[in-house]
Amino acid sequence: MLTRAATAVDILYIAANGLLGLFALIAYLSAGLEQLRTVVSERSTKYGANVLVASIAFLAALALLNYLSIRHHRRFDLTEQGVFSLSPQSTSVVKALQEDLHLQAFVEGGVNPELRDLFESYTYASNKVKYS
Amino acid sequence: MWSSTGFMLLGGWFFFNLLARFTFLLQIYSKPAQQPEVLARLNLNEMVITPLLHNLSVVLVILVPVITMRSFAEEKRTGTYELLLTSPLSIAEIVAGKFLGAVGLPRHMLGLAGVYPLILMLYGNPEIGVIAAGYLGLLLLAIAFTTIGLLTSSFTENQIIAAVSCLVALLLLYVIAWPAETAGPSWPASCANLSLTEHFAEMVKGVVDTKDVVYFLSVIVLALFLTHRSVESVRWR
Repeated sequence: MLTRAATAVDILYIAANGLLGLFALIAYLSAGLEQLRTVVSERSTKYGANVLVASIAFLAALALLNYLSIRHHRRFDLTEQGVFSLSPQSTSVVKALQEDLHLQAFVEGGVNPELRDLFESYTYASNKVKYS
Repeated sequence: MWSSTGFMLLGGWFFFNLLARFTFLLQIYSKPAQQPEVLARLNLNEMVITPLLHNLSVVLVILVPVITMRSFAEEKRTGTYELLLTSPLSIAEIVAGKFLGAVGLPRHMLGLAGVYPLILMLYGNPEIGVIAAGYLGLLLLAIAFTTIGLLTSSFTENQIIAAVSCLVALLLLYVIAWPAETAGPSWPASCANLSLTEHFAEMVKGVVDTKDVVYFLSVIVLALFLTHRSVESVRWR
């Protein structure tokens, strides 16, 4: 269910639940319409909405900042042997790339942290390198 | 904060470290260590400092909610909250004061845990840069955890609710990267970026990346901002 609705049964399930939920929501709103009107006109609702909008705007600004910081980041390798940095020769080779280079690895068990670290340092050295 | 509870928490912190060290030594001196190739690969940073810092981060997940749960919740329960809010202080000053007070104990914990690298330097030759990066990561992690704890504490007057909701939030931030590893590419990669521990793990390896520092700082600033709004809400609710 998390990934995508694959079969007709899934779509039927989602449609049935969605319709029932919508119906219940409409029934609730039409029953409590009068109450809703008083809640909306209250002072605290206005302030609450204000705070909500301000918080969402702040969150969006931080998300944008983080997106930019992921796109343009600098890393400082503090290990003595420079385990997470490429040698100068590799860096110059990767920087001289004319077209995109796609690294692909088939690893037993699916994940290899050391290999991923190596690929990370390549993608850091040049934005033409991608890996999967 | 420096009541008996503080010393009890410090005791728990060091008890856990002793226990983790004991089991680690048992593993080292039992079977695998007698094989020469394992001994040859023995790396002080990888096998001693990295596990230590990761253990400390797990302990922080458990201890920080207990430290921060009181900060606003107890003021509300005992009724001193009104006194605090009517005192000639701005809300930002109140939040800043609570933050500095709450972050003091984790800071002392990290400072005292700095004994371990000192002992290592006496008897071995560890890489100072990696240790410094790891401790910087742990400090940022502790501060981010503390601000999240302050936020949940400002929501309620019940300390237990404050502590448990903080623990749940921290655990969520801790494990959110795991499905990204197992589920593969179908899981959005941004989930791994949301995890505080993913960024922490990078720093423990000895790589200080600006994107990790920016993420930590934005979590801290966001939680403090929301705490400010939450405290302010008393004025209009």
